[in-house]
Amino acid sequence: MSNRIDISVVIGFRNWGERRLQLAVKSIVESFGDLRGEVIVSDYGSDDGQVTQAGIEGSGARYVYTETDGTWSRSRALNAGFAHARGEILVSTDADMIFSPESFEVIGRTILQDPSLCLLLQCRDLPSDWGDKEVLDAGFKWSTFESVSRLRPRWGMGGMMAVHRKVYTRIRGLDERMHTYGGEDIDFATRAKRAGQRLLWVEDPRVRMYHMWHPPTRAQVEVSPKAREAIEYNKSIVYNDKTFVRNTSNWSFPLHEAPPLVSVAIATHNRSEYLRQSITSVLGQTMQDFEIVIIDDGSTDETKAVVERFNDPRIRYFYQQQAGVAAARNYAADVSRGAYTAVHDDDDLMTPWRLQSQLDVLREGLNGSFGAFVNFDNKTGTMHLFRSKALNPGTIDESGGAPGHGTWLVETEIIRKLRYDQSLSSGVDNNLALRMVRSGYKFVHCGEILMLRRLHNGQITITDEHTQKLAARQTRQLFSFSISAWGSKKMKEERGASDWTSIRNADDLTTLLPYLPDHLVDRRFQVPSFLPEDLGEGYIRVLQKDKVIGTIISSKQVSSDELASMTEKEVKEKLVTSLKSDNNPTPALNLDSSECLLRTYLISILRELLLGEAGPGAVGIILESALERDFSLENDKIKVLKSLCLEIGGIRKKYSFCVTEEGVSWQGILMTPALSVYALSTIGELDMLG
Amino acid sequence: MVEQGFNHCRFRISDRNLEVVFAFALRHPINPKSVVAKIGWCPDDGSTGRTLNASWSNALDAHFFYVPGAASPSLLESSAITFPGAGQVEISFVEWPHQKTLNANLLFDTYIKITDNSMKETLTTLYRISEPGVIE
Repeated sequence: MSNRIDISVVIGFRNWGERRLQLAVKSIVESFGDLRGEVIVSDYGSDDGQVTQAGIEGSGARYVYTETDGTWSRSRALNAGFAHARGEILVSTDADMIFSPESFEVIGRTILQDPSLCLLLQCRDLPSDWGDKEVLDAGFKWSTFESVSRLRPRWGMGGMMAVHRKVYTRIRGLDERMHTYGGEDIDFATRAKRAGQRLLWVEDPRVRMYHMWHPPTRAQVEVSPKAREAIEYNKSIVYNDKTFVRNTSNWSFPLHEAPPLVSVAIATHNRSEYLRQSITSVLGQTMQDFEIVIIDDGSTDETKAVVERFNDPRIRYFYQQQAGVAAARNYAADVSRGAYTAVHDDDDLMTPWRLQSQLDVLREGLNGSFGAFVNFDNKTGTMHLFRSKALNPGTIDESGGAPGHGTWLVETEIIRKLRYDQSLSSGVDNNLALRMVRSGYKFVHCGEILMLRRLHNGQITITDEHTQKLAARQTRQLFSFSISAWGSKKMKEERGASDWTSIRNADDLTTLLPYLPDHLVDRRFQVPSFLPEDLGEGYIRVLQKDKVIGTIISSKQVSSDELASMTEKEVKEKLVTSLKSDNNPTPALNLDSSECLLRTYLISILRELLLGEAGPGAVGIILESALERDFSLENDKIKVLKSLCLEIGGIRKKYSFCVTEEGVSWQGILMTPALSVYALSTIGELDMLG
Repeated sequence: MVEQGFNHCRFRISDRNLEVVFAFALRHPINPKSVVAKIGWCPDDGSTGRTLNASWSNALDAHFFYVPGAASPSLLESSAITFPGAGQVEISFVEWPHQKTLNANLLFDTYIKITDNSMKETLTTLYRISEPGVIE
């Protein structure tokens, strides 16, 4: 590749002097030596006109500008610059640093030789009479800088940080939750370490980083309470968030051609209809940074057509002559691009939070995660929870089994190294799990129900039960081999209550109902619909001038495809779901009760009025009255926006929707004898004391 | 116009583990520990009433709670009670310690406060739970 770049150095800034930036860029450009390097200056929304594109490009850097809302975030600024970087090695630094002539050649070569390093550099402060103007006037006097500068006494990770592109990709860049500045370098380096990198402060006389003096900015920034709060928030992330993969739900500035974080691997054979549902459940994940790798193991049905109908570039289809599930899964690992593989079966369904919650628990030393799952009967929808024990030598030595294969999230590289055993026709998952544990890889239970496992007649566990048992026995023997009686005893002693993790929703599996297939459940929006037909007296009827113009009914059904699409787009709508086979006259969320239907309908109207026509802090009020009765609010700061006449059980009533201006006391309305308040709402908290 | 007041209220709960706060609009001052709310809980699943894990004063027992005292007509708020599932909540008020049905004119209304976080924006709503015309 002719335009390959070895090293990309990114400087992030906002409203910062051009001269200082030009000096920084110049020193970096001159320090690449034989390496092919680039400098990217990432301007995060400057609006003071100090820096020009021509001025930056004239000094040898690429200039990248990002529109912002005016807030400064150093981590986002750097990520915005890295998004344009082409280098194999990625370096972050600041606009007030200059580097000695061999610095980036040494740094670059060190990481090219050993990509497991994360290099850091302690800066040397130039004295107060060495600002950017003095440096420009004197030129780069490196021996002078060395003699007058002082190694910064506060040891840190800021100033310069260099990692291999693969590391940056895997941990998803700097944490974009961080605002202003402070802590983002420590956070990034710590995460790189958790992901297996070795931190190394460069101690080479050829590599020097000098800080050009300028009036301190921290004191200026900390004047603002908002900035102080942001810095405290950054600190809380550094101290409390022990994960290393970040920006999983929203990476605003991804690296150019960055592979997806997770590859969802599905091996399939002649299950096209189940496969369609299985893929849909993946598309409806709260974490969207994934690809789906489908290995078609010699299907003769319309599997390929089903996949193609999704017309989604994230779904990659591969066909192989039928060679078995192990070969298909190995093929998936070979073609996967994600750092992590989520194992998924073609007949099972993921819960929407699966990928996010599995990434959220990854800590230093962990190579993957797994979780609980629920078996559901494909005919009745009956669910049964499987909690999944811890995955460690002790639990395996006892049971010979491994937690539900379809809940694994594993580093893809591990599967590529150990591979599924293609000589087995069944139980290949247990076999791999045991070899992973024997190899020292560690996995954690994420405390969530991750999968809905379909019970049907075509399952391998049913069609190939005998072979599965044989394979499990063989695998256990393999595991037991070379474990002494003492070792086995010790493993048993070390086991105990920690084998079981507490699981969210374990006591209420009905929370999973919305994620069952469409043929099993009735899934509707909670907000009812208006039907312009008179369905009769058993319904809530809407009147206009004493004439029935329609009926309020439960809302339309929501398909699993629509639900997945809503989750993908982060649309939050309250749903009510019940099993179709459920004959209970009062379903789980009693939508058929006219009282609930009326309440939900009226509040949905009030909510729309509050969001659309009322000012911030306004309170919405629904007044209920007899049709013939009129009322006077006697308050010009409360406006009636809408009225509705309804007939419920033969009784007609008028509902008036009002909103207050901000700051108007609503408590008095509740104490006004002439008014009957049906409900009162506000967006946010309701201050009862007023 | 004849003033109406209510001493008996009901409300349908449709969510699971719904946390609610009661609010009482008082027509007159009340002395501390002079009014008790009796809360009935009738779950849809057919089981008998369950113990409610809450109180907003010195609890009398699992279903009887003191309404806070107030020096003037005002709006009083209870602490939160969590209802485990779908069902009917009923409240009746009695004068304490005489255990007589409360004079209906003491209360304007009783409300239930529910915070709904299921949408993008949190919506806090006070629902009136007194049923007009139901005075026992």
